[in-house]
Amino acid sequence: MVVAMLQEDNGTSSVASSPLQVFSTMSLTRPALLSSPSSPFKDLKPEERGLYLIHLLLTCANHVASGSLQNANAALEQLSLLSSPDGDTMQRVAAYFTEALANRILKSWPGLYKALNATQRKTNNVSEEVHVRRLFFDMFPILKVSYLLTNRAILEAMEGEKMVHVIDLDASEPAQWLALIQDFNSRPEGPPHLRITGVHHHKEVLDQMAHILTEEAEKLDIPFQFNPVVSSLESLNIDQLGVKTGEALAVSSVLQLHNFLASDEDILRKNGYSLSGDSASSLPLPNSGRISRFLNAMWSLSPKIMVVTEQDSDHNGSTLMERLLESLYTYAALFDCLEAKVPRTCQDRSKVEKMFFGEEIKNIIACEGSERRERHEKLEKWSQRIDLAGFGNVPLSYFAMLQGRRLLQGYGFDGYMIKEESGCAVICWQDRPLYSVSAWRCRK
Amino acid sequence: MQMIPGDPFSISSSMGGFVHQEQHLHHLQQHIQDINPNSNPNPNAKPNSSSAKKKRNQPGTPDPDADVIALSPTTLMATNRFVCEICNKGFQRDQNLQLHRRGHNLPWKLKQRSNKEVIKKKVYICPIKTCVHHDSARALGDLTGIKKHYSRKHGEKKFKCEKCSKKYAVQSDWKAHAKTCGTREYKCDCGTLFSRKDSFITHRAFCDALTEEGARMSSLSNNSAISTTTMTTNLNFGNDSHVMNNPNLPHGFVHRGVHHPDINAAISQFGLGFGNDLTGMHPQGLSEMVQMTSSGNHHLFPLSSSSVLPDFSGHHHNQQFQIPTSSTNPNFTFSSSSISQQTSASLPSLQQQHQTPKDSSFSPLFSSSCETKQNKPLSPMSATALLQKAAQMGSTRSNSTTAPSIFAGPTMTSSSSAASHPPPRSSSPMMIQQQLNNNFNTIVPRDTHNLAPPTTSSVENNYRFQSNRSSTNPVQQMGLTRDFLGVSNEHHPHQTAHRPFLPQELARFAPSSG
Repeated sequence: MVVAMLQEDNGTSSVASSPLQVFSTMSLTRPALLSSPSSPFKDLKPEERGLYLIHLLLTCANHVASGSLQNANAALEQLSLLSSPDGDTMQRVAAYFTEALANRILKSWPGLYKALNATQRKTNNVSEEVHVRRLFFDMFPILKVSYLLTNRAILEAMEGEKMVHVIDLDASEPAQWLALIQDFNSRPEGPPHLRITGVHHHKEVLDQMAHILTEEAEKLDIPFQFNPVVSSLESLNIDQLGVKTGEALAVSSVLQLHNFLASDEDILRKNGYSLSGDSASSLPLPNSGRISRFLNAMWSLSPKIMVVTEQDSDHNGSTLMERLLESLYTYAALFDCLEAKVPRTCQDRSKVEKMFFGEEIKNIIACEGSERRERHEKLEKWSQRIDLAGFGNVPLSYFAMLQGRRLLQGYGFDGYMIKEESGCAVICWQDRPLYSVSAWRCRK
Repeated sequence: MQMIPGDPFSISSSMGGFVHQEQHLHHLQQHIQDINPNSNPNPNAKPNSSSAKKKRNQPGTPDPDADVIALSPTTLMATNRFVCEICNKGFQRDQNLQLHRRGHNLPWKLKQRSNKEVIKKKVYICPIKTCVHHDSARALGDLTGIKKHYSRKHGEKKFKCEKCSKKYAVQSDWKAHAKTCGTREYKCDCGTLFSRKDSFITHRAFCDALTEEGARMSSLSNNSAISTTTMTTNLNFGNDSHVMNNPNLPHGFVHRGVHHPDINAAISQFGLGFGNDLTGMHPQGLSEMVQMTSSGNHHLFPLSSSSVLPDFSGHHHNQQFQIPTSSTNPNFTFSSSSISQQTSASLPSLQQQHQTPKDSSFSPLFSSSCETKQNKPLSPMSATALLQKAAQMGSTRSNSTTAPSIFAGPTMTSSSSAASHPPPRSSSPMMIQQQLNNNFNTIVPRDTHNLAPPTTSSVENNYRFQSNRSSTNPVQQMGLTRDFLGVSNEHHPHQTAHRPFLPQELARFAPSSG
């Protein structure tokens, strides 16, 4: 057995490359590993295995990025041996990243990729999608906190309003609006005349939502109307939303806006901007493209309040390595959350890992251009964008933050924290920011 | 005030007339008479002394010579006390009655009011025996005054302010309040509004401390328990029970703009209340909280329990421990662990009231979950910890000792993983470098080094590829510095194994951390 690391002294922090990068360069002994792949791994301690997995992932990504596929292949082989979707956290994370990297390599042969996926068509399984979304809602406090903060911001903005219209850009979870209806009901001036417009690309989801919400409103005797809009967000026509004059408008966007950034890259490329390399990624993207068009459209509706929930991680770096490094941290944190809360054998946990996070990882790592929709960015960047579109930040109220924290406490979500960042809430796991919630009003 | 002939009260205002007559001659006398105006009631009022006013007694000193009258509650509450004798119609004002009487076409004689006799000054006392004003020494000189007093103190509060739901029995009080309600407010940085300056200042002093504590404290239900008991024990601060009546209010907090003043009262109550109602505080609980505050725990702020708590910031906690723990409410034992079990028996209904809106709003959102409540700390096995460790190994010095066994050092082949010897210093950097290269090459068939970066990018992340294209640079670096560090290695034998992750290291590679 060997011991004794190479040491590496960077002195001050500024000089070196990312420590993980350097880590990946550390040499590995056991040349024997290549020759007899199966046996040596048995006696690895989990911690060592975890570190080795990280090493391999980074190495592999390096190779993939530089195009040295042979090496990448070698790394992938070891990765697939060591990682497992049913193992410990690091193994699971590694499993999905491995798959994503493999996918990425495969995509460099588009013909091969398509051929492989031809018969394996992704069925538009609505109920499965809904189910996984619900699992995410259940297992994590993130959506709960987001809904809580959103509702509170809406309630506060709509004080004294008699006609309220809420637009939900991804109407998949009725629980959010159920809570809002009840909150409106118990406000001192009585409930307003409430309309909710839900946008979703599946009709069934909207139907169900309509049913649930209308029933609740009838029970509480609140004047209520639900308007379904069956459309994807990209192809949404503003007129379909049916915004009327004289009503106070609220918009809720939960994890939707980042999809709009996907098409921007193509457009920018067409216009001769190069996104790879240099400082392009550190500058705010020019406000051309779909996202600004969408935000401008929202602005034109003059909403009284718009609440945006987004991932708060920089997964939109222009190079693979950047994205890999960042997303490794993020998804490690998310998988850790699951590990802390849910037993390993829980089927639902595997589902969420695979179908919710796994798909995100795959998208971030393997896809480029307009295909890559999971373009998560930091709150700062979102704030800039939204501000540029003519919105002013509405700081989340003290009471809202309080309720959010209470929720985390009361439901035993230890390890989670809500931080405040210039009036916006950032949900963190053990210091790692994961998601952010911010509220905006139309600034004339 | 004009002296109207026939005005039955003109006699009592004769003081003023008399005074006025004497004014230019006897200033002193007048002054004395002001204080004690019963000296010379002059039945012959001079109607032309136009500037005469009814001189008021000093407050609290009723006219000793006056009749003491206790009107019945019915009379006091009666709104129309001037009744026309002809048709029994009631009027609130005497002038209105007179006007009305004119319409009856009375013969001349009956038009006049017979008021030739002296009308003695009357003072009024409250008929309620337990009232302060039942005593003739505390009698009120004014009929309107006694009526208002009676309504305020013993009457039903029928008028309610829309903005803050404060209730009043007397309409003029209500109107007066409505004018100022919500107009002048102080706002704390935390967003709470106050109508009173003193309560604002008190709150502000404690505000930051309040937000910092409350870490391991309780869940929802207990907050109302604690706060309601506070309210019951704290009535000496003069808050009405209206604070408790509104179930929608989270205790002690600004809920919606409409309710601000209410909650301000509650908050001020809580803020000032610490001195009196730490009933049954356990010292353990206190010390825990002191610790928590001092650790600067910012999150987890249970709603009203913290508002109940005294200020636990460092410089205050000394005095807090002196606070008497006379238990006015035996139900209320306050320790951080037992909060969840305590409920206040005194106001269960309020608690429920408080609970239900919240519960119902939570339940659709939060009904199902399959989480277990295992709360593992950041164990070394968690993926995040592993990443951090990897970063540490990549970035910091002296990682030799507890690195996992799979990672190579140049010459060591024999020692077990637990060994903490640094590589022998005797080996030259060159040799080490060579061996490193060898090792690299065994793994990687090709010569291309791992370090060849795909692109050079200057990203906001701290990550930057230096001129690392050549395969030897970092290795060289490592080799050279290794020696340099070989000396210091001994001082850090078990550095990385279970080292908690250092924020600065994390900061190095955590890009643009929030």
